[in-house]
Amino acid sequence: MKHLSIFAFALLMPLAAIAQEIEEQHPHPGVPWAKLAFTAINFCIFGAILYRAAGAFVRNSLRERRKRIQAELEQAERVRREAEQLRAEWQRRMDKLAGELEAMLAQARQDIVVERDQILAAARRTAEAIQRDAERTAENELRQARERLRAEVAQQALHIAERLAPAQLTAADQGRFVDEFVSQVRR
Amino acid sequence: MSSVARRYAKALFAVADEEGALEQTAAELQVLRTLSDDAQIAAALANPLLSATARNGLARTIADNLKLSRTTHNFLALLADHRRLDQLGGIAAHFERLLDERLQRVRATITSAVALGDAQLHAIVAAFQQQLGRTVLAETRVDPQLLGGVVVDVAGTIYDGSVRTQLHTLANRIAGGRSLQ
Repeated sequence: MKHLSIFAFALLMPLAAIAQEIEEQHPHPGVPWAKLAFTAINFCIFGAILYRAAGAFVRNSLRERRKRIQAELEQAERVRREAEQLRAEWQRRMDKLAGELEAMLAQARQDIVVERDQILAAARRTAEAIQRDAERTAENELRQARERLRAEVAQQALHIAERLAPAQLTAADQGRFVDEFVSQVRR
Repeated sequence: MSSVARRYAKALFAVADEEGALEQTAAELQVLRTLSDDAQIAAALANPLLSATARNGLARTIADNLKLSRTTHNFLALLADHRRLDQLGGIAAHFERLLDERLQRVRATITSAVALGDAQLHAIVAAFQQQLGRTVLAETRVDPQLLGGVVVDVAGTIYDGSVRTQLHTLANRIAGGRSLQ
């Protein structure tokens, strides 16, 4: 095959020269069929040589390119599937998230209600304690005021009695006091 | 009252008891006690700068002037010798107490708002004698602040029958237990 190519390549230049010579020796008007025929033959030879010389490389390149494109397509398909799976996963999550969100909202509403009830109960207890303390304080102050009043009345009564007694008590009263004292001592 | 005064009083009591002169010695001690109550005489009796001769001279002068019995005279000289003349008041008080115990007597101070009549005083003394089973030697005082009634102090025990205390008790009860001024 290599020899054939060399042979064909060796024919190119002489055939081109022959075609040029024929055209110069037998000029005629119209289409130069001979030149065209030799040119066509040269082109075919050139094409065959080119096919022989670069065909394997081109085929290999094309094969590699096809493989690469095929691999890229497969990669793209894989990525597409993964993306699809990811999208499906996220869709599931989104669907689930909606449910979870709803559950969280429901739990939060329930917690708020419980917390509100607890706060209200604590506030109620505090209010009751404050009211009890206030009532107790008021009772204590009232009792103390009453005791102070009683003490004041007793004090005044004592002062009045002590002031009036010397003038009011007679000798008979003094005698009666002594008699009572004596009887108590004897008892 | 110091333990020194008690020891001297017991010793004198024993001597006077042997001589059968308890009452006389007690009376003389009371005179000496009255004497020692005077500030100037008390200062002289307690003066540590007095010499033994001066102290004995002072004791002799007192005994001679008061015509004390031999026992009391000697006792006074002993006190002077031992630098215990300043203990006379305490000795007399304890001697009196010992004598009261011997004779089953108790001393009482009866305080009243107005002076007591003899019958009232006798009734009070009789009541305490009956209650205590002892002879009561009463000393009377008048304190108008009692308002009425009597307060009797028998050897440190107070029997309060005064109108003032009754009024205070009543006022305290009205005040609900709160102490009054």
